[in-house]
Amino acid sequence: MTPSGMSRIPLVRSVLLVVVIWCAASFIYAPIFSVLRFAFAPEGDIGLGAIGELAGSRRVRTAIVNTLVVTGLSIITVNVIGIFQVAVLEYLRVGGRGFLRFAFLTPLIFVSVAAATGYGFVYGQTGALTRLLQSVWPALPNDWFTGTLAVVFAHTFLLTSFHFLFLRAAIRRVDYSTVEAARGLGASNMEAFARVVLPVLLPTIFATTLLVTYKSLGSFAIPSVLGGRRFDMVTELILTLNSLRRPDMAAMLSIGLGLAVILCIAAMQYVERRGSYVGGSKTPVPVERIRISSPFVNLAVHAAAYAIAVIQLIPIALVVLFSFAPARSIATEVLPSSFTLQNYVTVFSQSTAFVPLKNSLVMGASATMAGLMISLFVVNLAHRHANVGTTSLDLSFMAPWILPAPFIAIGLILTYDEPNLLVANRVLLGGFWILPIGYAVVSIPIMMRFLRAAFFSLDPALNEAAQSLGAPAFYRFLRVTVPLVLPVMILIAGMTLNVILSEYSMSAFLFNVNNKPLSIALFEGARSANPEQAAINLVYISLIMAFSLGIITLADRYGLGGGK
Amino acid sequence: MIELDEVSVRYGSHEAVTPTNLRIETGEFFTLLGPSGCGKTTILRAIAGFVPVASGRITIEGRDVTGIPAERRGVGMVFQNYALFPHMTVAENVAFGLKVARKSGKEISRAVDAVLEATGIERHARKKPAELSGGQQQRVAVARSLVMGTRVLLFDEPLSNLDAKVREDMRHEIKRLQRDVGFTAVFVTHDQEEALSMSDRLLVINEGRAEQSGTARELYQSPATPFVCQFVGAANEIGPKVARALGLDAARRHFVRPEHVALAQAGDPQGVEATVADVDYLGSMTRAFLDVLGEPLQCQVPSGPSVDRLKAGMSVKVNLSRERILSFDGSS
Repeated sequence: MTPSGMSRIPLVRSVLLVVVIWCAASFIYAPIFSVLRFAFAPEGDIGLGAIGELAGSRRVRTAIVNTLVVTGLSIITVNVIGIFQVAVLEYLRVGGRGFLRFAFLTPLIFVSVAAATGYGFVYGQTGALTRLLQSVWPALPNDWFTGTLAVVFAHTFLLTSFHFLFLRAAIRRVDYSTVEAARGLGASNMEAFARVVLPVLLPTIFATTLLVTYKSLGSFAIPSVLGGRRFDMVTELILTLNSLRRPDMAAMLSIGLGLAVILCIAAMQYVERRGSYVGGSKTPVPVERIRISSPFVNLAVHAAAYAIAVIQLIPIALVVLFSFAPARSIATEVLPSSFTLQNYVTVFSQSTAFVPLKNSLVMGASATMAGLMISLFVVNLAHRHANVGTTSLDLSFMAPWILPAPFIAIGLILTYDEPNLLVANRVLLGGFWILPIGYAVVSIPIMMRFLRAAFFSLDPALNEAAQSLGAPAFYRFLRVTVPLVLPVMILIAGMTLNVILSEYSMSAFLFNVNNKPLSIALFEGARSANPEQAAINLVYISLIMAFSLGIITLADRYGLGGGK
Repeated sequence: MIELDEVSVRYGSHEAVTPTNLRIETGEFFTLLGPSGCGKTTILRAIAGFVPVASGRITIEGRDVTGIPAERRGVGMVFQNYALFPHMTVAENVAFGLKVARKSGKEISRAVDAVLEATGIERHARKKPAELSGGQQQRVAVARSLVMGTRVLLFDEPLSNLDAKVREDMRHEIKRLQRDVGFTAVFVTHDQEEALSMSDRLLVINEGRAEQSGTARELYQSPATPFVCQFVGAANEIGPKVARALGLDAARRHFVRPEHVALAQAGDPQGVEATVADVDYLGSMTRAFLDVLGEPLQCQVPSGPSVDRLKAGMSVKVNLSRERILSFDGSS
C-alpha cells in the first residue's frame, strides 16, 4: 500500500471495528448471556431450581467429589514430581541431564486427548504394560488402570509442564551468591536451599499449584479416556447433562466450574501482583548445581529421576514404535516384532482415516487466522489509543481466559441451536463453523497476551523514527510494526494450531458429523476394540507429537519460553 | 531558522517546560544542555512534533508547525538508541523516507548511494543494523535523515551509547557533516564537555526553565545564574568566612573557578591561610582540596615540581583575584 492510499484507512478501520465488535457480541457476550439465562431463568422466571436439582442428584455429587479428590491428590503428586524434576535439572548435580531434560519436557508435547489415549494404550485393558505386568502377576485385572488412580497417575506425569516452564525459570533467577553467603555464614547445602532458595521460589510454586488446580478442576480428556465408564468428573457431567437435554443444569454446573476457575485465576493474579523477590544485585551469579555428598542420597536421587523419566517416556516410546508396527501386533505384543509404514499410508490415503486430520487442520487454521486478525486489531488499537472503549474491547476478548471451555461451549450451543439474528437468522449448531468459532474464542486470550507483550517490547522510537521520516500511521503499522511482531505472530499461530489439533473440551461439546476433529477420532479410537483403529490412533498421536515438538523447538529458539 | 515563542509543555499537572523563547539560526549547531530530567529532551521532542505543546508557537524556516504532525514537519531526528529498523538493511533503512515520499526507484538508489558514501558506510549497505558497531549505526541514523534533504536535524543524546574513543570520533564526524551539508543541528546532551566542544551556541536548562543561552565562552566566562556557573565547568561557592576575609558583599553569592584559585607558600605575605586536605594528581593538572578558614575550596593548577610537593596537612596560602570572582544576587 502506498502512503497516498491512506485516506481510505479510517473507513477500513471503522468497518473492521464494527466486525470485531460484532464478533465480541455474537460469540462472547451472547453465549455468556445464554448460559446465565438458562441457569437462572430457563422458563423466563428467575430462580435457582437448577441448583436444587444438581444438589439432589447423586451422580452430580459423586462427580463433584471425584473432581475435588482428583484435584487435591494431583496438587500433591504433581508438586512432588515437578519440584523434584526442577531440582534435578537445575540445582543438583545429576548425571545424564540432557536425557532427563528431554524426558521431563515430554508433557509439553504429549498433551490432552493424545496423552490420555497414549496412557490408555500402554496401561489400559490391552496395553503393553498391562500385559507385561500380568505376565509377572497373573491376578492383575485387565481394568486395573482406571478411576481415580488412573486419572491422578496421568495428571501426575502430564501436568508437570508448568513446573518445567515456570519453576525452572524462577530457580534460574536465584542469585547464587545469596546461597554462597548463607554457606559462608555456616548453613549446609540443604539449609541454604530451605532458607534462601525455597522462600524465593515459593510464589512461583504457589502460582504453578494454582495452574495445576485450574487444569485438574476442568480436566476432561483424561477422565473421559482413562476414568472408565462409571467415573465422572464435573466437565464430563456438563456434557452428559447437555446431551440429556438438561441445558439449565449443564449451564448451572458450568457456572460453578467457571467460578472455581475464576477464583484460581484471581488468586494467581494476586500472587503475581505481590511479585517474586527481586534481588538487588547488579551482577547476579547463576545457580551452580551442587554435588550430593551422601552416596546413598545420591543413588536414591538418580534412581528416582530415572524412574520418573522412564514412566514419562514409556507411553511415548511405545506409541511411536507401535505406530510403525502391523495393526495385528498392537493387542498381542509387548514390543513390536516387525515394522511397517502401512499405518501412515492408511491415514494419508483412506478418506475415513484422513478426514478427522483434515478437519482439524482446516478448522485449526481458520480459527488461528481469524483469532490472530482479531487479536492484532484489538491489541494494536488498545496499544495506540488507551481509553475506556478500547480497554473494554480488549477485556471482552480476554474474558474467555477466565471462563472454562465447557462454559463457552454450552453458551454457543444454547445461543445457536435455533435461528439467531446475530448470524443472519441461521442455526450454527450442527454446522461446520460452530467448532472453529469455539476454537477461536478460547484461543484469542492467549494470542492477545503474547501479542500485547510483543507490542510492549517494541521500541517506541522506531515508530517515531518512521514518523519523522514522513510515514503516516497505517504505513508505519504495515512497514515497521507488523514485520517486527511477525515472528511472534507466526509462533503464536503454530502454538495455537498445535493446541487445537488435540483440543478436546470444546470439540466434545461442539463436534458433529460435518466437522469431526482429530481429538474426537482419537477418543473414539481409544474406546474401539478394532486394532486397525488403534493403529490409526497411534499415527495421529505421533503426528501431533511431531508437530508439537517442532513448534516447541521453534518457540524455544525464538524465546517464547518453550523448553530450555 | 527555528523559533520557539513562549513554548511550554505539560504532562498532566506537571509543567515539564515553562514558557520558553528560543531562536536557532539556520546552519547553526545548537545544544540544549542540562541535567537529567531538566526538560531538554522534551523541548527537542516538541520541535520534532512528538510532544504537544501546552502553549506557545514553534516555527521552522518561517512556517508555523505547532499543530502539524511529526511526519509532516520535515525535521529529521537521530535517537539516543538510533531507532534503526532492525528488519531492514542499512540501504533499506536509508531509503525508507524516500519510499514514503514515493520517489522513483532510480532516484532512491542514487540518493541512497550518495548519502551512504558521504557518511562513509557504503560498504555496509546490505548489512542489518545488528551487524554494525555503535558508530556505524550512528552514521546510518544520520544518513537516514540526511537523504530526505532535511535542513533541520535533531539529535537526542546520540553519543551516550558509545565508548569514550568512538564518542570522541563521532563528535568530530557529526560536526564535519553538519559543516559540509550545512543543516541546522539541535543537539541534546547532559555532557558539558561534549556541549562546549561541539556547539556554536547552547541553551542551559534547569527544572524545565531556560537559564541562559550563548556561546560556550559566554556561558563559561559570564554565567547569568549560579546554576549555569556551577553546571558549565567547575566552580567553588565561596563560604561566608572566606567572603568576609576577602571583603566580599555578604548579601550576594560568590563563586570562583578552581583554576582561578592561586596557591602561594605558607610564608607569603599575601593571601588567606589554608591547609591542604587532599591532593588528586590528574597528569598535566593537579587538583588540591583545601580547608580555608574551615570552609572547603578546590584549586586546580598545572602539575610541576612545586605543585608535586603538595601533601595533605601542608599549610599554604590562597590568593583569589577579585576580577575572577563571579557574583550573583543572593536570592538567585
